[in-house]
Amino acid sequence: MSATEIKVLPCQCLRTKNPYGTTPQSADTWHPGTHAASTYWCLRTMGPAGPDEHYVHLARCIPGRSCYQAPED
Amino acid sequence: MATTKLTPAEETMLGAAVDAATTPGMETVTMPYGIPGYTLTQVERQIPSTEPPVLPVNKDLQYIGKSPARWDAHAKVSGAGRYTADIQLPGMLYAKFVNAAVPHARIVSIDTSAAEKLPGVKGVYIIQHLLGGAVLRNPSLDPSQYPIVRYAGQPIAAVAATLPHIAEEAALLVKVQYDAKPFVVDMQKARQSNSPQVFPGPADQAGSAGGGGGPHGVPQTGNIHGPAVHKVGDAEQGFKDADVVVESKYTTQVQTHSALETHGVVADWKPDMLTVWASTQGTASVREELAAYFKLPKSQVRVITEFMGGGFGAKFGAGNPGVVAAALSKQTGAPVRLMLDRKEEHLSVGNRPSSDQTLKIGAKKDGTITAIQLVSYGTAGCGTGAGCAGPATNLYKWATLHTEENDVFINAGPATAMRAPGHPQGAFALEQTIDELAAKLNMEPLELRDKIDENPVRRVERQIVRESALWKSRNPMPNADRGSIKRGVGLSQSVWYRHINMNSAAEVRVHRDGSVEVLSAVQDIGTGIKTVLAQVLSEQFGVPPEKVSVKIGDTNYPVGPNSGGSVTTASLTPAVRDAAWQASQKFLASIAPALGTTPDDLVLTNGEVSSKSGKMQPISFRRAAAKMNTDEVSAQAKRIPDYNQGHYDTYGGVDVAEIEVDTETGLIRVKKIFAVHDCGRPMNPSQVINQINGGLIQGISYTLYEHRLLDPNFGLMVNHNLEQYKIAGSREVPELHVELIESYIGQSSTDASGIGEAAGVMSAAAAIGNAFHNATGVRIRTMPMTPSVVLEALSKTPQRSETV
Repeated sequence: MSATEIKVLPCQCLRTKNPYGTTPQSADTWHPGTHAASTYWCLRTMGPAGPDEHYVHLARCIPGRSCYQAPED
Repeated sequence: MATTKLTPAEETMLGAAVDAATTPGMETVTMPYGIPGYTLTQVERQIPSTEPPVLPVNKDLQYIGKSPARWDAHAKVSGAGRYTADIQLPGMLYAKFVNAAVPHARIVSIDTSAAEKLPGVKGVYIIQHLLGGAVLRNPSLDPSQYPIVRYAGQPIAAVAATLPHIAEEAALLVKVQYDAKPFVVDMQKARQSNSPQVFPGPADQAGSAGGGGGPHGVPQTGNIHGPAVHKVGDAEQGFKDADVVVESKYTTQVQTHSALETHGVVADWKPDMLTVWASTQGTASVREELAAYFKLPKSQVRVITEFMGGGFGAKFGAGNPGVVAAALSKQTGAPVRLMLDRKEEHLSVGNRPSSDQTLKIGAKKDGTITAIQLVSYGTAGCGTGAGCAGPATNLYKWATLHTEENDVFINAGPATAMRAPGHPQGAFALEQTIDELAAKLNMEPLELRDKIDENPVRRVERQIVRESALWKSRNPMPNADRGSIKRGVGLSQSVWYRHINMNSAAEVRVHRDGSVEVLSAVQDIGTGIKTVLAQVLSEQFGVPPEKVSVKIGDTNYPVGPNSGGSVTTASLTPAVRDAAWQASQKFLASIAPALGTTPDDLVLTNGEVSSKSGKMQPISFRRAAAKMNTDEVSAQAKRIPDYNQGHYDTYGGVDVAEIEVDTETGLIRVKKIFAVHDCGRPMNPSQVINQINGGLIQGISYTLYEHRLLDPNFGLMVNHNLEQYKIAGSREVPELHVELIESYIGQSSTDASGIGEAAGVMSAAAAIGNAFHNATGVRIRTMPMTPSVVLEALSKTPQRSETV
């Protein structure tokens, strides 16, 4: 598997249906896809573009993007 | 059965198991392990002592592993089953989307006045650009009240009216003024630096993109998001070490999901509760998104999916239909139904991305793979997800690996997950290349796969294939038939991965009238989980499936897993069995005093309660239940982790296709498919085989027919129906023969696994491709394999001129 390490939490509005279902033994509802076959959408737009009209992706929906919303504790 | 010699990882587990006997709350048990008739043995596991007794293999069970009629079959065939489109609520309104007519534009204005004046129209909703604090990525764009249009068919607004035809008419009356932008719908053109940009703005460089927040080093340049690079070892050196190298290019097309039931919801917004009936693969996902979007507590959102007509990965979350219907219901104070039509289904709610792959494999003379290199470009429309390296990465052993996956944006609807994402594309290239490699190494295709695939289950599957009449009937040499109709046989393997969704729980109740029921929010997407849950209860209580009640598809019940990635049965059935076991123990404790014995003296079987010691005569379950000291006993259980988390299981199969190629017309006819598959313990073999049949048919359809066609001049899909978008029908379905492998892995109280992804859909194209080569001596590397593609392939080879 080509999963890559995730070091920071993506935007709380990032959504995906991980193509591999869910990660093994995981209880989280949503899992950021870690493979190039993952598809994404934004909760705020329900589409593949964010409110800033850039595309939604695990590698893009990160701190520093103007529409980024940090996950709540 | 003797206890097996275990892998090092399992020996480690067993080492720990020595301590299990003295660990409070844990016990060591012996479970079936392996394949009956081939490798069946036993394995020890340490498990929580609250777990139910270990189930024996299927042949020793009464209900699990058998194939009773579908629990809801009568409701389905009689029309009694209520799908989302069947929901009728008092005062319900019908909604219709207004969709973009152009592939790329900034919306200048939306005039809904004429629609609002139409008698019967009760509500209008415009999808607003929720800029908030966001800064537009492309500073040349003026901030607009509306989102940018990136594909023809993108939802812009919706209307709600008292009747469907009024809503349709009103949608046509909405006037949208566009500031049209240059667009691109051809992937090759989109890759060029001077192409119109789908997401214009400054490029993201590899160094900053990702930023530690996800896959690292994924840049964006123009319309290309990528490459996502995965390297293991030095592939360049691996190719130098190889005795043989095979390299080829493969192309696959965009496929749409085309589920029988389109996306749709009925939303009923009340002050204290939003209730939504949804055609979804995840009641939990719809509730989560609606609660988050409208900032409601989850407890005030209820999602119901009584019956559901397929999704294939496209139906997760609320989506625009869910949000818009809920907003219109809130606005109008009435329930609102919003079902997409077939055109919208093709355009806006997902597809399987295309692929252009360059695959290179190097191997030693003995077949050992020294290097695999894959470079792929694919389009997921205006979204991402076109990677296809899964098979190259996971199907076989290799010494070094180098994959680069690229998404290419075009002005088309975004992809969503589709049954085994990326794998049908990847397997089409990989499995034909493996056959090419075998030929170069002067090895049989099965012989090479035995060398490079040590999975013990696949090994048994290959053995079954090797001994099959169909495989033995393949041409010893390609292009053996001298006439214009050429017959060939080819095979392909598939692989998928065991994943468990821990959001899997159930409650089991036993009532004093003798009725038994199970409740879970899980939805049945058509694969038959209702029947499987009934079987689990039946096994525990000794009553037939038709005598138990299965209540699912409602978030008022304990949480259920979203159904995608082949997780449902593997995730939920252990929780259901655990709940059933606990409820049965409470039941026996409740009735034992009245029966003059103790709970552990009682047995539930054949619809009766009997005594091991003979203290009482057997009585019917119903009469026994009447002796309960309360009206009801119940137990709720949630999924616990797999027993052996240190081991990573896969599912898969080996599929053999027999085809005929008409070398004059270019028509391919698939005559037969022999499919050997595993899915852990088959809980209901008939339903598993049904899924494999469906996967094979879907795979044949993808291979030969389905093709989303976009007009390059207008950017519109020209075959947005099920007439010109051809799907395999009854005339195209070949003889299908499935051999199901029981494969015990000792992972849970049911030891169930999944089947949906590995069920033929990823292997059909490659099996047909390899059969095509066996028939003609020609490699076909482009899908769909239409007559023109076939004739083009044949025209480039000497074989055709020799034989036609």
